[in-house]
Amino acid sequence: MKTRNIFRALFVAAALAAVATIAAACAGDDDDSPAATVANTAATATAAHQGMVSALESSCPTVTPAPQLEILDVRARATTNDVTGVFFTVRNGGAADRLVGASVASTLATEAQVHETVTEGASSRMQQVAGIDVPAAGELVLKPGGYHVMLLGVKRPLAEGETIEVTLKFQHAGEKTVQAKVMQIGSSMSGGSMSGGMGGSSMATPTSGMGGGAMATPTSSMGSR
Amino acid sequence: MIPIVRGRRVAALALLALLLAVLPLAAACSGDDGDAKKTPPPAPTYLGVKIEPAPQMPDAVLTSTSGQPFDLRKDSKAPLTLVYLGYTHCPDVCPTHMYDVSRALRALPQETQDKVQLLFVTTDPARDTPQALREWLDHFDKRFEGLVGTDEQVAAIQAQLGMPPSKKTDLGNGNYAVSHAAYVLAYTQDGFAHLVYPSGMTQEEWKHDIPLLVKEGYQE
Repeated sequence: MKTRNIFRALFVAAALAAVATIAAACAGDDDDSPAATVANTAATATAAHQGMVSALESSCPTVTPAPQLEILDVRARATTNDVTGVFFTVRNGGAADRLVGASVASTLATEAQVHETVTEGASSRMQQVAGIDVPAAGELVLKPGGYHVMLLGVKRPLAEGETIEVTLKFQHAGEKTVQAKVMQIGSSMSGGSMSGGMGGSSMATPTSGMGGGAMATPTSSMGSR
Repeated sequence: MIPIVRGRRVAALALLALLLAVLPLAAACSGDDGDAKKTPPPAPTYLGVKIEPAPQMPDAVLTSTSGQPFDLRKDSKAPLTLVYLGYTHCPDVCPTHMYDVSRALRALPQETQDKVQLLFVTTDPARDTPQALREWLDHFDKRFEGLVGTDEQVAAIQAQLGMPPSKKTDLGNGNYAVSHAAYVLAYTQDGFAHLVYPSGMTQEEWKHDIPLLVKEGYQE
């Protein structure tokens, strides 16, 4: 008899907490509101109802958990002409986001575009993209052979050692202004670790820059004797 | 005085080298030691990617960064000639590739370095003047040669190499990107490129293959 009552009480508490959470979540994106705090506390207290909450939450269209972006290792190449590439890593501790653009002061360059390098068959080309996804609780790495922010119409030579200001635009997190360190033009932009691609296991799939025409049968000589 | 000292030093080094060469031979001949293998040495294992059929050096006369004519077949005499087609407005794969080759090369013995020539053929002759190429290449290695031809010559070279022709992508405001193959072709003394080195080849990988190709050419 007693046990049954406890179960019933727990169920009611769980249901109430769930409803409170939904209400708070749907009310707006103001995380500091007392309702949200109460709901979150209640939610933490009654772990038993989490399944119910998430099931209900998915039906609430206004829930937009925030991305938590950290932009690291921002670097650009010194120039000998009027273009340069900017490379960096976006570390995200929160919900998914999307890099949708970039800009720089008009005194620095005419334009900043988000680019991707595409390799099809034996040909690599660079093209502008509308955006690049930043995965939830993950990383987006911009490096040679993949993505970069390209500065076009650079108005003055960029010298090794200086820093330039670049503003990155994210769909949810908004604008983030970062300082890019200008590296020697002849310097690896691949970042610290081996990220170039042709090492280790990727050796078995030499797809980059291969295929087509005389390159029709590029067999890796790895291991051949 | 100095040349004599040098001469002596060279003689001493030669003697040392001879002794070092003879010693292992003597050891190898002396024994019926079970460890001695009688099979011929295996061909080296390359880290570059083998391509078949291996393209021949393209037949074209371009202009070097010093403004002189450069005949790809006649003027590429080094035991190892690395050929890359790219452009200086390339923010991404071209400089990375050139950087890695230049760094690997610098880490090798001088006599190996002297046997390697790098030819950078621009796929963007409209913007890459010999002067612009020279300035750009100097950031990597002053010995790298830049070559400029007409759009038609570049297209003919690409056809001979089995590469698709370069295409321009409009980036607005008069800016454009140029497509190109993202690998370095390694021509050995036989005049063929049996191996290519795609984007992302590391300096360590270059350092492994360059001495092999310089020393013995490509071994099947």
